[in-house]
Amino acid sequence: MSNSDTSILELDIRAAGDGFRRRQWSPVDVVRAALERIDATEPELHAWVIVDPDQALQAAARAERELMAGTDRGSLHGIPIGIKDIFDVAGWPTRCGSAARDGVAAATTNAPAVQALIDGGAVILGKTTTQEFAAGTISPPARNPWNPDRIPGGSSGGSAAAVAAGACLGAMGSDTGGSIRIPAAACGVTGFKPAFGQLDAAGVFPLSWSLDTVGPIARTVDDAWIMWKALLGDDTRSPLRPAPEQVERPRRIGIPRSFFFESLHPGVRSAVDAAIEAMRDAELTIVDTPWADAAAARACAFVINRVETAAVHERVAVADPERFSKYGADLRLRVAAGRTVPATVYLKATRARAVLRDSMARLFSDHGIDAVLVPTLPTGAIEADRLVIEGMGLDESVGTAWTRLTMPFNATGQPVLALPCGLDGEGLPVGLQLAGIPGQEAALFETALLVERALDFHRSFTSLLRTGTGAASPEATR
Amino acid sequence: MTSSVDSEANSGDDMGDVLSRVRQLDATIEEAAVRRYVREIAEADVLLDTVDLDDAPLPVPFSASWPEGSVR
Repeated sequence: MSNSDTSILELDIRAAGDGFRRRQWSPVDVVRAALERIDATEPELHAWVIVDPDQALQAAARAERELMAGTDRGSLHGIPIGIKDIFDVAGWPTRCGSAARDGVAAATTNAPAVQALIDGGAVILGKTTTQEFAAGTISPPARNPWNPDRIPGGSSGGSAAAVAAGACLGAMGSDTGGSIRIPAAACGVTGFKPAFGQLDAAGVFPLSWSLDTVGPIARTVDDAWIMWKALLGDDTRSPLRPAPEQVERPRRIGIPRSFFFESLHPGVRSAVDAAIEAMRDAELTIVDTPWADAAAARACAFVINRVETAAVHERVAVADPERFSKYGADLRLRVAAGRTVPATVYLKATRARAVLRDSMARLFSDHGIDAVLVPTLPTGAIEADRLVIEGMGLDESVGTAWTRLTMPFNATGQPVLALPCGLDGEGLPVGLQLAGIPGQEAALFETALLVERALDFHRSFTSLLRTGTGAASPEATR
Repeated sequence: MTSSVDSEANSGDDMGDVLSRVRQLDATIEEAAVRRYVREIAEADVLLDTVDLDDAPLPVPFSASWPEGSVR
């Protein structure tokens, strides 16, 4: 790949679009660079399950012609995007990462979220690797651009790996127990889990219908904001406001240390503590906000998730045993054992959910905070051939350990931005979550923008572009 | 907490019934994996018991909307 191509891929979405409009480069240039990047990285990363270069280049050429003719769809116009392979995209099969869906017919319509991105001018490059039916945190066979021996997280692992590798400027994911935030953290990029129910999840294969959300994965807070606005069908041209100098009052960020800061890998703890200090230095107000219900919130989301997953797949298991036998072992266990959970436990979880949401709302109002900040993962990305978390008083599967800090916010249903904050001792990304108030997403993004600027970590992925995957180091970044 | 969960999760007849129902769908699933699953659900159930449900609404479609006005 030429240096000029690499430099195009270093651009954020708004800068890429500015170049289109100044005619410094074109959508075709950016899409071609992304396709070359996919060719260069796929042998190691396996982030994509479908790439259609001809269709993408045709769409890019169409976007270019529209801009030349004065039709400007907004900040996503001509921007290459990937779609997790549980979303319907017309003309392509929705295989959900499962051998049980081999041979499934191509979708005939786009999921509303996909259509919203296309309407906003996005160029769809292809579909990205997912954990089978979005039920897990590993996303095989996808690997992590920071170290291809490591997993990218999941279940939207292909989307996060593709964004981190510079193979697209944004991608769609889904989040039921952390599946946007977990791979965003493991791959050092930004992910946004919207409030439950805020975006239409039709045309997206369900995992747990009362928890499922869909949202963007991108490199920066502003990139995620642009995708979010496009998903809402809003104008994407307006910059995220206010800029730091326009903030009228210091943002207050609450930190609930118990539960969320227990059993962290030392490298994660160091990076998150350093990030908190950087935020204080940037005059963000940090306050302790203990939340006694965190463990119960995790339990609530866990129970609902497990029972509804079993309900989604039970019909296949009962009516088509041959197809069910093609499911992976972990999901077969979830479906078969999930049917045995007592109804009283599930109903208790659904009732507890409203109480836990109110409890979190009270935390915000009692402390007057704009957001809650916690780590996203207790460890950096782990090795693909050793999927257990040991030490720190833990001996458990990556699926259990990696959803501990994310699932509570699926129970409360609030919007959460996951953004990178530094590196652990092994040179792997560490992430944090900023959870906000439903309906006040703009305020959450504004707070996240201030945090991002205070940390100044979000451009570190460019070292991956310059050196190829797996060559990033703390010295090369920060 | 763990010991009571373990004894509950592993109590003979209940576990045998769960294992039997699981294997109706998939005879290859290992008992140890089922025991882990049952233990995780039992641990979650214990944690859910810490939530005061006295005034909780009966199950209704969940809305993520923030409660308006004063919170409970």
